[in-house]
Amino acid sequence: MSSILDYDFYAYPNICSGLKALDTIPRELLSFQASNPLILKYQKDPSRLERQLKAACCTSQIVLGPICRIPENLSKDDISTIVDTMKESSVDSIIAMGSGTIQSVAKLVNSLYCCDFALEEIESLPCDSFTPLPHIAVLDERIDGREATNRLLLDEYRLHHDSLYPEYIVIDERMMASGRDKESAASAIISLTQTCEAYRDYLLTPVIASWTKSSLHFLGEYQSMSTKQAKIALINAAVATQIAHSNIPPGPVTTISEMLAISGFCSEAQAMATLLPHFLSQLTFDKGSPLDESFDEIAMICSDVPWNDIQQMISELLKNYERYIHCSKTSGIITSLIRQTHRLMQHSNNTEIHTLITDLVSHTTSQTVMGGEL
Amino acid sequence: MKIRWRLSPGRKPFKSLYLHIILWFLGRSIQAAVHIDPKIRQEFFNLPDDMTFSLGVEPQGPRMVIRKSTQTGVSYLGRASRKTPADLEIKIHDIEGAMLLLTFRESTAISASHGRISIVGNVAHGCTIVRILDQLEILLLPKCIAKRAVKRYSTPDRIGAMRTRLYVRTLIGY
Repeated sequence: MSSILDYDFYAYPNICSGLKALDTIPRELLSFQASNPLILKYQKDPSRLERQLKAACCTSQIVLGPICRIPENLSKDDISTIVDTMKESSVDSIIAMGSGTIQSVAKLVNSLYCCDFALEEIESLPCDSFTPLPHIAVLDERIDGREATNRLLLDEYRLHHDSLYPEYIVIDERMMASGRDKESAASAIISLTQTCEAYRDYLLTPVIASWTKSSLHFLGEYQSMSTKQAKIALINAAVATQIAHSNIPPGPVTTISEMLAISGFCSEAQAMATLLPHFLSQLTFDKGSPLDESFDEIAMICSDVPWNDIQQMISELLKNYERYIHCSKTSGIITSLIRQTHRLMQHSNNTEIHTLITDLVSHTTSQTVMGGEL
Repeated sequence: MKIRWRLSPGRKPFKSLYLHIILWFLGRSIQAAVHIDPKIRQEFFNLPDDMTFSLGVEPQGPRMVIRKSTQTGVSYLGRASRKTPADLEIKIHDIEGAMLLLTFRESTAISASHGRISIVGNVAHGCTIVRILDQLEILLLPKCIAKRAVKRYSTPDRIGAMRTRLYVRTLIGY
């Protein structure tokens, strides 16, 4: 028990969500004593966002600094160009408008600029915290939640550093495109999965419990609200989830799904959608919890995974089973997931995988009986 | 990758003009309302003498400053200089927040809960000022609008006569 309660919890970013949230940026810049921000945005994003940011600065007299429009296929030269631009203009803060790549680029260039490192040296960031520039993250609906945390995921660059948290997160309706789409569904399923994992294992830790309960509340709103409001609720859910989830070891569904996504068999959300219902069947929730049958509908959004992909997922799972079984404290869940894959494989003609799964199930069962835990 | 080097701050001339006018009007109407409404008079009685308070838009937006003194009563000082801070400053953080509040789409309580307003100074006096502003809005605005702008709406006695006197004294400026 003490190991659960005995660690630092980082819930660093201030979050501003709702009506006219974009207009709070100048005040935040002034509170950071910054007046020359670098702005990062996608090249394809409409220029009205720039105009809105510009208009928001009307009473502050802040001159927005260099604006870098990031292309979809970002190269190493582009990152070096951004760092050189930062040095040339002596920027004192970063405003990143968008999700995913944009926020990762912001974290990466911030680290490079502040540590004066070359791109090749990024893996050797100092272990002790460095002081980064204030990073304001303006999120849109393409969020996966990691933007709000201290994780950086950009092509081959993967970093996890406490100095990478953004200072301030803005969630504004004007950043959202209209209409429900696959990206929103994927965000929803990732948030739901990670919330459930955090909720199940760390409910005794009050801070995590409060973030996960907030996330469940927002996911409930996502189900019931109109399009743009639903997306705002979804981003709030994703941010709350990741703040909770970045403070705990990844759960079994996340671990397996991330591994499958990296292997390229299917997207993370598809893998989660397949495995989540079986994870949920293991959970018991308080009465009145928003996690009821309505969330099954979210799970169904992404559940059209092709059968071949499932087969490949299972074979990959088998190869790495031993490795992942040690990562997870929730062996009962792993057992359940393995049994589910076994059930799925009964329809398969691939005898080799079938044999492997059968062996695995018997191994899992014997371990559970013998030791209680794997 | 395209890089644009500078983007000067934009302008919101109509919103800015509206805020200048409404703050000017509110300032003068507070000065007038002390002579008309007993509730507002009582609230001012509870404030210390020679106290100044301001309501304004940060960081360089319009604002109004009011002083309560023993000699002249309650007087509107216009914008006054930002270099001499008031004893109590109610700051609206941005122009859009000010528009929500001063177009009476959001009440002071809701604005504060959304983090659009901050108070520098004595919080108890700040609450008194908020009550004064609420009462003033009840007097100035039609019921359907005032209901949205204040937390609790209570109709004062002889509101029609008081409203007429308030508008006349505000426009004349005494």
